[in-house]
Amino acid sequence: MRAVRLAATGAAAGAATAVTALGMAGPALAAPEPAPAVPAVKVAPNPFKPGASLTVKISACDTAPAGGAGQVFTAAPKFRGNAGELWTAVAATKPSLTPGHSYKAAFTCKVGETTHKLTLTVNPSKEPGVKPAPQKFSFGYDDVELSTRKVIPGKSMTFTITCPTAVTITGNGFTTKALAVKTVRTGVFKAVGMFRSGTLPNPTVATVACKGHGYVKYSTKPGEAIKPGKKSPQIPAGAPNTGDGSLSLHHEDGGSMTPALVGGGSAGALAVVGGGLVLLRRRGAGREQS
Amino acid sequence: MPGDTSASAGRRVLGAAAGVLLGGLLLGGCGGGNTAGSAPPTAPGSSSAPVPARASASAPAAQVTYAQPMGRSLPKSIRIPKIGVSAPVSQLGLKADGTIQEPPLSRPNLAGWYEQGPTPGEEGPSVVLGHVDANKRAAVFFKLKELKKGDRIEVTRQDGSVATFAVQGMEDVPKKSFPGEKVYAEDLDYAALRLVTCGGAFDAGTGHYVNNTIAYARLVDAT
Repeated sequence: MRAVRLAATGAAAGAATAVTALGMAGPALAAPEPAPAVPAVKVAPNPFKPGASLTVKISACDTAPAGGAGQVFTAAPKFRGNAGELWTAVAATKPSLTPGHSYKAAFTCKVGETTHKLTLTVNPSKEPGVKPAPQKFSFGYDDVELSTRKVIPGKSMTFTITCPTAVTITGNGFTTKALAVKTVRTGVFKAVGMFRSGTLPNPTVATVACKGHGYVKYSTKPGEAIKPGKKSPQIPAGAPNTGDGSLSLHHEDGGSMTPALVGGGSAGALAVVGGGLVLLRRRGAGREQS
Repeated sequence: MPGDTSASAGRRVLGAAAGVLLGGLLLGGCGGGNTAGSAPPTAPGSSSAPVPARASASAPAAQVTYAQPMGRSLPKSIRIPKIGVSAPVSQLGLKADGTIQEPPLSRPNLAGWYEQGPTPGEEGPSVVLGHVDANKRAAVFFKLKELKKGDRIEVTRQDGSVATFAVQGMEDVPKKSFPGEKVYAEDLDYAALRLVTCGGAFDAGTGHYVNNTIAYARLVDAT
């Protein structure tokens, strides 16, 4: 059933394409005349920083949109475009605009004999489109404070950690594998580790991890002070961008791209499917004629 | 109505072929989905002692013995016979915004090692990046996603030694959830290598691919 449905869909799509092509080649069928397009206005960016230039686009006007600077612009935008298509203007906004307020500018244009009025509303903001820089935090030994450097069986050690996320502390000499970590205040944590009585492992190690920012390790041997051991490297922010998409092929379904090699394969496959449909169609037509 | 039956059968066959083709296309792409063998990697044994592992077709030996970590020596070149990679390796640091540098697009066949991490062969996860495409050319890691468990990766180091790794698993992840801690800073007591490139669809809006393809490998030989 699935195969039949796919074939039928493909055939229907082919028929629709053919009808369109015929319609273009010959005189138009007696269809009702489409209603005249209604002009519409778009602006980008919005919101924006006062003083920034905006791109205003107005569609479907037969005459160039006209209008004053209104509350928004330092001068009346000058539109360029073609009758009935898209008209575009780039104009600077007044630096005196106040973020958080709305401002309007009006334009008029004609479609046929009808004059249309379009109103543009914009919203300036303080820092449009500027995202706060990611907080740079590199977890290291400076972010861990130990109450003592001595590791003594049956005694405790207190860890105070600065970390913007969450902390875990593990070790091979504590009475528990992972220590209970308490939040002292935002970004500061505390934990107390109790070392086992008797002989401790050699080396005795403790690992302090700050989630998302790596870890530091401490190590000691019997009779020695605990000291920094291995430390994780700084974890780069974000994900690596390793490719420029130059072997990709644009798809119109939302702008996603797939590699050209696959795109080539797609084209070939669709050609095969299309060709098959044509063959079937011809075969059917041949039967009808005979 | 034999004619109808024949035509119907033909359509069925054609439809099935179309389905297979279209299905294949949907599943294709630059890592748009998980490729065969790209299941999330299973964590290798954490013991530094040799651990037996099953090898792939590329490494027909039934058993793989992991090697002990090597000393520090910077990487010089990388070779991956399975996907035809033979490339020099540069060093990559961090940009001002905290993201990792990438090899220049002008040198598609250049890989880059993250210099703040262990060198390939040292204990811990060593990370090597490479472009998937650059300047309309297939770049050094264009076929990275084709790697499978057991495939070998050889890194020649500046001291002349060669660290050979075996792929443990492949992962294709959205960039939004890139496992940075796992890739760069996993707490390991053995030598590991992570190869990273881009995958998935290309977002023209951002100018970047939406996924990353990651190969996880472990040291199996040091010579």
